[in-house]
Amino acid sequence: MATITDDIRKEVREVVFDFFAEECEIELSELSDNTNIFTDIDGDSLMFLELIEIFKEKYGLDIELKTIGKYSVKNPVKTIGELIEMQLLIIEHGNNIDHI
Amino acid sequence: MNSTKTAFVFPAFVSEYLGNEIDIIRNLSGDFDAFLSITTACGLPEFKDFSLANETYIQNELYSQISSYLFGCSMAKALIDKAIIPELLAGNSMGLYAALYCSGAVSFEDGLKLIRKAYELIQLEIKGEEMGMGAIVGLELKDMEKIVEQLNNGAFIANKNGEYSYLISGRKERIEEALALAKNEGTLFTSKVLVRSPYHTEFIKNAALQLGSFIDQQISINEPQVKIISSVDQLELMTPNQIREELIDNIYHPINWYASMVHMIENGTDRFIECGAGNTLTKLARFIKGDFKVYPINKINKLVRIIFFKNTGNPDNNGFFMKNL
Repeated sequence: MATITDDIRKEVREVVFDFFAEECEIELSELSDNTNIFTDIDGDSLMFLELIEIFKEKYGLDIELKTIGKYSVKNPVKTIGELIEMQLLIIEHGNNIDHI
Repeated sequence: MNSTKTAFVFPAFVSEYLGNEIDIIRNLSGDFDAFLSITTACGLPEFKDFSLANETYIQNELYSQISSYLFGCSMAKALIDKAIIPELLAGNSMGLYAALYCSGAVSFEDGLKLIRKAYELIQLEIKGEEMGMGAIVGLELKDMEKIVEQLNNGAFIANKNGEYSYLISGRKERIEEALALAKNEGTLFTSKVLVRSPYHTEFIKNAALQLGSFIDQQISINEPQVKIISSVDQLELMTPNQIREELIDNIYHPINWYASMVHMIENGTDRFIECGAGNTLTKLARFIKGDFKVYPINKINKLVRIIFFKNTGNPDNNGFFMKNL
């Protein structure tokens, strides 16, 4: 189990915000934790997948996509804030995220 | 010095437009309006007032394919007229028709005829049965195969769009069941695709074979000027007969867009231009490993400027393709 430091928390936020700003061609200032990825900025499932792959590579995570999928069914992610929290849980718990 | 190898890739029907596609193509050339006029004159007067603001062109299954064809053909022609010449072409699913036009294998009008006939034959074959397609993102092939096994031959994998991205096709209730099974399995996302036809399955094999007869009687297929990569088996299509077979197989065989992209990358393609509306193929390509770039329609102006200036003085600028317009 990894420890989530303030630096990691900040880094994850930056990566997520920068990602959506670039992909959705929106100014960073227009994004917030409450931004609905699907309805506010036309995000889609492939963006989710891409972010997961980015973090898997960045933090050397060995986590199955299905595990994340099962977690998402119980804890739907719609907003940027929810996505950040999920990513932090993935980093912290890895494949055990489904048992939280 | 390594030279760039370019492929034009053509999407199937577009589920989500960026919104400014028509403006971008009109800025490139006047071809879009010329193609619209031909479309209207070819028995599709509904396209006289074509507009992305009108959802009919997205929600109507036939109109959606025609729209995608229009964007694909006009964008490809505009690029070629600016001396951006592809070494390879590939069409994802019904994107095949625009790829065939671009290669010179069929005329624009014959492409329209093929799309309409295929659609008509498919609707006749399914005879009002409730069919459809679904998208599943986040599972591997073995998970998908496990799901399909449970569907009593009611739905099948239609297309592998990416390593973790699949389309399934078949009876509506089996599609719904598959999406539910996928959620239990741990997929990230599922959605129904906005079509009523079970593309790329044996449900429409007879329609495909009848299309073959129609092609023999009514369509003139030329030798392609540019190789086309089959989405069915990733072979290079270089003869009229191969193209005829691909037109039939593309209807009722499962396809593998992911394998087509990997094939092109492994054979040296390092620049892909998504010729069409939206940017679905560009997004799918992000999950494929390799040293290449993909340009969707909204990034095309920059590319055109770079390449145009590099290629100024290219003697083949106007002589490459049949001018059927």
